[in-house]
Amino acid sequence: MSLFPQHIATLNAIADRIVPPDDDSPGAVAAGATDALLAMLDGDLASLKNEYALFLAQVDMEAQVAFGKTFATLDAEKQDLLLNSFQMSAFFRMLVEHVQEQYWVSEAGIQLVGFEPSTPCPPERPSKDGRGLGVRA
Amino acid sequence: MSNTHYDIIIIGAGAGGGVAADVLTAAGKRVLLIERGRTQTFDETGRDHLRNQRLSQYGHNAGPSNDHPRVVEHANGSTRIVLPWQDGYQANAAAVGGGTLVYGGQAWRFHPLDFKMASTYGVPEGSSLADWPISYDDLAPHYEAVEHALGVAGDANTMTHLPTYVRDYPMPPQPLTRPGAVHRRGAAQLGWHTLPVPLAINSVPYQGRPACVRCQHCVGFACPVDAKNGSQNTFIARALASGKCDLVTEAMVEKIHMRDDHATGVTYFDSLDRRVSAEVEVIVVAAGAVETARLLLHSGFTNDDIGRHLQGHVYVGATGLFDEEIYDGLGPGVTTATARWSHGNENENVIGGGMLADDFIILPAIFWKREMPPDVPRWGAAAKHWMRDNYRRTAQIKGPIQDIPSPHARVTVDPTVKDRWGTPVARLSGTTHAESIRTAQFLHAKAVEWLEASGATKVWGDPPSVPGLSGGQHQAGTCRMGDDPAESVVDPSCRVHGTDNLYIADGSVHVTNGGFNPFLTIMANAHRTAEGIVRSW
Repeated sequence: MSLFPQHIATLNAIADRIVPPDDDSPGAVAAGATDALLAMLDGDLASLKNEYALFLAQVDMEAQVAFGKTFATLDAEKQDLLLNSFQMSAFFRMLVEHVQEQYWVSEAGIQLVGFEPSTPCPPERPSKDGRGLGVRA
Repeated sequence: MSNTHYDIIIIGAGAGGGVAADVLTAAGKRVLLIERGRTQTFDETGRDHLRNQRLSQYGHNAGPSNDHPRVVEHANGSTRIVLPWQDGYQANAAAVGGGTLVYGGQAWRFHPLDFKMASTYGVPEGSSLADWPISYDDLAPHYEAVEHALGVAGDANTMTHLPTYVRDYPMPPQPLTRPGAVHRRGAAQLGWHTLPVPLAINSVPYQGRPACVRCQHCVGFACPVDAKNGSQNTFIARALASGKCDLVTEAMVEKIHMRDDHATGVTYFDSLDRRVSAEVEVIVVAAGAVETARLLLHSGFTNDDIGRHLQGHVYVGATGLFDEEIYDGLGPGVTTATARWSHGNENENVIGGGMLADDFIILPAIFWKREMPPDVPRWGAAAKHWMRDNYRRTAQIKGPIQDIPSPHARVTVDPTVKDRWGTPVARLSGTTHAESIRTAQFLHAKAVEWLEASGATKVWGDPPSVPGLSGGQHQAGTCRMGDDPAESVVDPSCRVHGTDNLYIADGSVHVTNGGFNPFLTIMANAHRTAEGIVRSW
């Protein structure tokens, strides 16, 4: 089974509820997390591609039944409501981790937490007791 | 099939094998060093946050390759085949340098009492706790030799839990980080002595290579400026430069061949899958505690102790949240430790103890997977905002406990599963002794106490509660050293009992694995073993 545009639209919408965009930082889609995940579904996670297609179709079907719209076209509040109903789904919890992984390895995620120091490394060499260097109180 | 003569074959180019190659070639021996991994550059090893030796979610960056599966046997007898980057494999890197290519380089000497666990604490029922047949004093000169030959940054005057050093470390400690300074203040309030963590990372230029540039990717990765000192850029580099060492990579040893009590040589599959035989005077096995035991068993050795007592380290750790930003992004990140709880905890009904220290810089993806507080949602704005607002306000205290070994924690040869060359793979079974959990819970409470004293307003991270199988990057114990062939695999010179020329120079020979990272002890003992070989051969 392949992932069709409808699946991908649903995946993107779910991912942006898992890591939503903010004024100061992109969400999962803009960070490239879903593109990376889709690439994984043709690579390391290829064995899960069919299950992904089934799960994404199920989410969309439940959106249609509950609200008469595709998941991607629901507002954020309804999307969250629907996703909350999947909290006990092992597949959903795994999908959450897949998206989070790709977000926290993305440039956006790494910058958001301030992983790299904002000031250059100190040029001084350490003293014998290691004190007084690299510390900005 | 080719036929080449060397004086000595060393199987495994990791911590122990590299040291042995250096010592033996310096003494004029002609050495064949066989490694199943390959020589890896920094660029080849990469900086993939999901595929490294710290987090191998989808693979790793320094081997072993998938040609080497293992079998995990569960308590109920069921089994599963695992690939090297999957849970349960007990992986250590397989490359030239072995684990030392990508390690964090915590260069600890074991505590004198680490060598005398049974006589200090007694033997818990069901455990195989025992004393080493050698003491700290026997290893001290070799610790010193490898600290200088490898390059360790530290301050001997602060190592007050050890006998006085003869020579200080060759480099001063790494510079202090902000979390380190905070933890030193916290420990001082508790009255705990702290010390700069000795690291095999250049704090100043040393042996022609530069000082650490303090990047955020240290443990789990190769070094971008070659400031991290592993077996590959020190001992092995010197052995190769001597002109007396041939290094064969991507080569899998099939068997050690014996004639009576004499090892005559090995057969191995080279990188083109050709079976090659090589004859020798002496064989040194340094393939790591899992593969060394498997190789001996597959080669026909029948000593029942081979493969038992597999141990590594049960780790404890806790994460604290601080009011202010504590993260400064300056690597490698480990600066400050205490050995206050390594021993002397009998009043708490605890055997041994362990070292505690701050941690290497944690990749955001690893933080997300392992360090998040349990009460934060796993998705949605709250999860994202927690990471944004608090990653830089957290710090960790972690440490290895002195594992209490069990004879049932075991490497055997799997009866059916074979690797790519048709050689039976290792089967892993059993767990560490339950006493290890008691020690871990004790040390975990100390980690929490330290974080709170340092000013953490919230601390999380549970202690281990169920014994699992230890091994992994700190694997040890499967060919333990001893005087009695009925209770050990090698004699105190690390020669396999019942042979005249087969030695082991890796963590396999550790009787117990100390409450500290083990590589420096592996190197020091390999140094001692190799010097003994030079004297005997």
